[in-house]
Amino acid sequence: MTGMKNIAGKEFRSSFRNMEFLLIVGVFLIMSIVSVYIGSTTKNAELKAYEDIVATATAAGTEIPAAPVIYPLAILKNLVEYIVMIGSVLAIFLGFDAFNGERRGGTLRLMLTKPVRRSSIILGKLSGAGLVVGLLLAATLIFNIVLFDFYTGVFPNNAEILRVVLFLLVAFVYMMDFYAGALYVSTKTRESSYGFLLMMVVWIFISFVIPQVAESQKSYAYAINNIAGTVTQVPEETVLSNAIGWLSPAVQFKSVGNDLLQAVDETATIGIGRLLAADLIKILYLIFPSVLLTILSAREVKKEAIL
Amino acid sequence: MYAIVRKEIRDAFKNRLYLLIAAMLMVLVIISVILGALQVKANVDAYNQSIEFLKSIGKTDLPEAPNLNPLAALKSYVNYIGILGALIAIVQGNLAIAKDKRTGTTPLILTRHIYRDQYLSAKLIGNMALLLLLSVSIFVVTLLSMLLISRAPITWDDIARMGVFSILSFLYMSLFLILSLFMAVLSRNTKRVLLLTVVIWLVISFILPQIGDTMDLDNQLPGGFFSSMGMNKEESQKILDQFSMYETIRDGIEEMSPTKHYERASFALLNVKSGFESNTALEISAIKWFDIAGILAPGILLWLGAFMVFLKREDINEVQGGY
Amino acid sequence: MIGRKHMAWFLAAILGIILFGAFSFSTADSSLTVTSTEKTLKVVNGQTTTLHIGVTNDGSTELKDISVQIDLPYKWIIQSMDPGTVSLLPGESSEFTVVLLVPASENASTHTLNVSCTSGELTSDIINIPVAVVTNPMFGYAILGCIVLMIAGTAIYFRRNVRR
Repeated sequence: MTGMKNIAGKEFRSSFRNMEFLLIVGVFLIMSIVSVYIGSTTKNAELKAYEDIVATATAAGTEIPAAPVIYPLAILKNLVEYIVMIGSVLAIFLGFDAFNGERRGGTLRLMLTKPVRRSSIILGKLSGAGLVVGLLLAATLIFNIVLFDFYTGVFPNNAEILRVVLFLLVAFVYMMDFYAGALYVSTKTRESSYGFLLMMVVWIFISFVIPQVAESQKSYAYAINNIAGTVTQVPEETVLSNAIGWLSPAVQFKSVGNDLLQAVDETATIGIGRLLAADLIKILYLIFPSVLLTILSAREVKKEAIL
Repeated sequence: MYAIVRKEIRDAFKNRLYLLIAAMLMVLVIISVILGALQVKANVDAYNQSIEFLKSIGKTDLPEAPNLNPLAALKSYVNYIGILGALIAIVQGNLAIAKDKRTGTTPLILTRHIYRDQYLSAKLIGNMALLLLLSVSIFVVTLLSMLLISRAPITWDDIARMGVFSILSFLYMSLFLILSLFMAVLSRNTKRVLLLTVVIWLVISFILPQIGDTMDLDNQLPGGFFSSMGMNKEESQKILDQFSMYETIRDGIEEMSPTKHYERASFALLNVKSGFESNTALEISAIKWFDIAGILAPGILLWLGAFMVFLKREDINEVQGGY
Repeated sequence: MIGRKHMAWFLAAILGIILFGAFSFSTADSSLTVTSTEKTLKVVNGQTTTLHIGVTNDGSTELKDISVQIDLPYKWIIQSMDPGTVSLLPGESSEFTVVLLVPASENASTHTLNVSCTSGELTSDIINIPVAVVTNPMFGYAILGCIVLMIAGTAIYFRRNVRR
């Protein structure tokens, strides 16, 4: 246990000395701030447009359209995209050299001469990385709540804060999936860059390719856009698109994230308990890869050839 | 120089990561093109069946064939090149410099009668040849799929559009190749430079377009914001007048992304974006000159920058950070 | 001399002609013709372009509140229209000056403007005006300038450092 704690502490400290990691943390934090700003600007633009519409309709004596339904947390919904795009890459940056770096630097042999169980090395690294990711997401949480208050003038209520906290927990699980994957690849390969690029390819498939294939299998209902004078297509899920979506944790994460951040009308106002019950299978699906990859990494580390 | 070009090509075919990513790209493109071609074939068959039925009941006034747009089958290809193609190019560019640094052959090569700019040029030409081979292979596969599977009527102009589109894809991947080469020459730490290049790629290929999409009011609600308000055109146009600065800023952010330029030019060539059906491939290239320049110009500037950096570099013997 | 029976037919025929003439007069009356001085347009994105739409009352009754209707691409705006509406006597013509604003976010593309005039329930034929949206050529010069500067800078850099 002491060994695991020491390894976790070392992992935590060394990540803040890694320039590339700090760079992408900076990008992530900036983007999370920007996403709140853009979300609130867009919503303000919609509200202003609506006010102009009401003024025009009032002056013309025509019927005033219903106000657009804008849920407060929806201004944070871009965070879902940024976690998928940058958060997962950040986790890969953290993990691709976690094991191989120790092996290359000779510290792995040194660690194994100490009374430390081999599986503790993996668990220690996971714990250390988990602390880093958790700290980052906690900082994101605080930033977003403060900015939310700043841009909307309203402090979120308890239910809204709970939704944001739950979202960040799910984001934590999602990012740790990628860390666990990068760590496993790091135990298997001798070249860090190979492991990194392999994880990038995995990331591309999970985050873009599979969702696009799923999207292409949706059926489309037609809605008339009376502004552009065109018929627009509104996508609807099919059995096949759903099935393909289950191959990608990114699709499930986006689904849960959009539900929690009130980006979907149907789930924007339902209670947290009901929401979690509805999304339970998806959340368990997101946890599963981390558990599996941790077990695989622990088994890999126990082999003699690991040195 | 020729020896270096040949070596680059040989080394790529021995690199398992490059082969893995290239194979994945080919498989994805083949699958997406075949799926698209099958969709077009289904549309062609449906039209032919309708014509046969009408003829069988004695109709002589037959409807014209709808615009089947077989080129739209390539739409997914744009996304795959935008992501995987760029990654292949980044891998190639990084490896081109990093492997010589790691093995210590850079100073050895420069003791030969070859100038530094020739050395870099040879690296670029060799790797661009690989990207060209990839683009041509995909073009041939796509054309065969369209002809043999979809059996849609494909004109010479369609083939010309596909050809120009393949050239554009090649230029887009070359941009990331040059970016990766430039970064590899700029930094002594080979591991760090790969990560930095990936971060830059993320920002220009994903984050900037994402910001532009998010700022588009009409993307926020299904069917469009104004139509959801029940606005007619005249009313919405009065409202839109007040958002012209917002639109300018949004467009400015999108213009900073070469990926967005590639997408715009490609969608025009493939008729995914309407309004270009009656233009030839060359006319579209002329109309979309700015998007093509948005891909070419950064590459040229980075390439010249790479010359200047490498010329000055005295520490080419040193490798930091491992690989 | 026309007999009484023939007189009745004669009067009925004249009445029919008068009624027919009145009827056909009232249906052949309303006719609005629209033309455009510009047959094609070329506009730089983010800038305005002016359209001169001519309208003629070819009918035989006065037409009031004639306005121009333009089917614009999405996000395009009619910045001004002068005059807003006109009234024309039979045979009269007028011209509308319409200023269109193309949004800066409109990429280089081709569109077709469908232009017609309306007066109440009467609508003229539609004329189609192709519009080409082009990117500001100044950007092209700026890009070329940057490249030329960079080439010059590289050449000077190489000469100064002597060694290649």
